[in-house]
Amino acid sequence: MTQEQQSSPVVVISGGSRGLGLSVVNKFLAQGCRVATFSRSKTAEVEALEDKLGAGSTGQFMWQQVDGASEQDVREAVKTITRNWGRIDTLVNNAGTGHDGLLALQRMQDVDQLLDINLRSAILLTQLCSKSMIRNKSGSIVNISSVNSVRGHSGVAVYSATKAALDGLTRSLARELGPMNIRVNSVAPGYFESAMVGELSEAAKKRIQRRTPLGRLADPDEITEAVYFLASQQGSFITGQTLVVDGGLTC
Amino acid sequence: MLAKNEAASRVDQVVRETIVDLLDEQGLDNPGVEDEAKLVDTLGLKSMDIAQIVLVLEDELDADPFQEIPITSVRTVADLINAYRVALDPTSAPNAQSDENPVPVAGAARRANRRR
Repeated sequence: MTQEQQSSPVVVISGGSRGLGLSVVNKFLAQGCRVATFSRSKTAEVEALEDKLGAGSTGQFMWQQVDGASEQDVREAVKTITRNWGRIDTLVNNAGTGHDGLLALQRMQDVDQLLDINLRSAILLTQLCSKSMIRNKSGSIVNISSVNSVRGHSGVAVYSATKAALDGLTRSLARELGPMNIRVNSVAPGYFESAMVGELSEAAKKRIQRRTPLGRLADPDEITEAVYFLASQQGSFITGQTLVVDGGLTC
Repeated sequence: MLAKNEAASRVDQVVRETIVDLLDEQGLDNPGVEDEAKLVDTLGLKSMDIAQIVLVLEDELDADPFQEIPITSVRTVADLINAYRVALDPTSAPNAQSDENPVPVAGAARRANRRR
């Protein structure tokens, strides 16, 4: 690692091995940040980043295998980051999962998994990372929410509940941590090209496009730009807000 | 036994020094960090001040008692010292806690009024 890299901001991004998370990882890396991410399994994209930037704490990029539902895994991952890089400046709570289906027919084990990964794990990660930010009296947290948190949609009730809960976390934590110069915001993406949207039928995708004023799905990079804006100094006077990035779907 | 006493003495010293440093940093008067001094009522600490003290102590003492016991059970300097003594040496006999007001959670009373 170069001397410049040793003093560069440390960004933690959960679920950064694919999709939106990977796009956010690439954005912060391109800005010269040190990026730590974790996921259940390594992807070809992660391997390529490790080859290019160096694996582990010696480089600019650190990937760890973590089961987001495991409290011990998450605690160990954060310990490894702070032990090696000494600080955490930015957290992007991106990891999430979805189970579609009518609530009346959902298995409670699927409900529990949604609550564990989308909410409990995000709260735990926020608690652990915010400790470093409080010590430094500086930091920024961005929670990846969803348009499902601001509008009702059939078949995603529990998912919506977890995302609305993240927005509540955002607002209260912004008040709690504001005096320590730590900002907390949410980005609520609309539909963008991702594995979750990939499961929709073509007819459903066409319907979403018809209802979206901008007439298309987003590219993940368009969501990433909003995340970066809120996390970076560009958004230095914004906290406690949910920025909806949905092409006008909910306007 | 000697080592045990030394460890307890170090906890005592580190906790008091950390409180004094925080009071100094916040520009608060230091009326004395005696055992019976109440963190909120005597020393004038706010909940985020106490959070900062706990984070410093987590680094200094490599312990976080408040994953096991609620921070709201800590009222005085002695309570705080005791929490770390017990976390580092579970065989330490817990001191009786005072009847004074516990550390308030920020805005707790206000929120309690809103709850339905």
